[in-house]
Amino acid sequence: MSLQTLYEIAGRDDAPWAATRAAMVIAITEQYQNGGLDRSEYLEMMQDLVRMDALDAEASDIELKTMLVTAVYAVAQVV
Amino acid sequence: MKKLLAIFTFALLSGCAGLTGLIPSFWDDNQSHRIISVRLDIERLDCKAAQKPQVIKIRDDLAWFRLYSESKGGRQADVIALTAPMTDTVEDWYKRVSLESHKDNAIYCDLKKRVLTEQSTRAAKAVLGRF
Repeated sequence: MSLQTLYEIAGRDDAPWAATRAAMVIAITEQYQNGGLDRSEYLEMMQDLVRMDALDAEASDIELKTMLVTAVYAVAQVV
Repeated sequence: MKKLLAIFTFALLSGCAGLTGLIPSFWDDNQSHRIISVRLDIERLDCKAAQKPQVIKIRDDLAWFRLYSESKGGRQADVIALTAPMTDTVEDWYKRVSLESHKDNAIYCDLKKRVLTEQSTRAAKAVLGRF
């Protein structure tokens, strides 16, 4: 994926989470290219972005289960 | 009827396979308090100041959260897994600042702060959003 593609994603309004993530990749890559980060720092930051996906998945899982419990509890109050 | 629904919910959430890890954790005052402490630590991160003591503070709050959750019991597996990526992010930073040859890099700190802000915001929303 080129930086140009990332800039396009960063400018999208319909997927704010993807725009935020793309903006981070751009910021990290630009700092690396400009010498603000060394290679090990750059690779670590990219690893952090991968970790963010794992955290997103866990959070979504908890939220889905919570919705299910809430819905069942609401039904139990009605029945 | 309510008992029946409760049994149904339990069976549904446990996947009918005895996988206790699939049963969600529920609201906990201490976990909620601590995850906001983590957010506060990150929000107050000053990249112009010495990084190591600030990283240690975040690391300690995350360790508190994990140890408390582990001590509470098996149903906390979801929130432990939730905070694990953030712990890894902070642990890498801690290892870096603990090196004798380390010199603080404000740019690295700023970017790390951005990542941790995203991670902790998402984690706190999930922890505080529980039933």
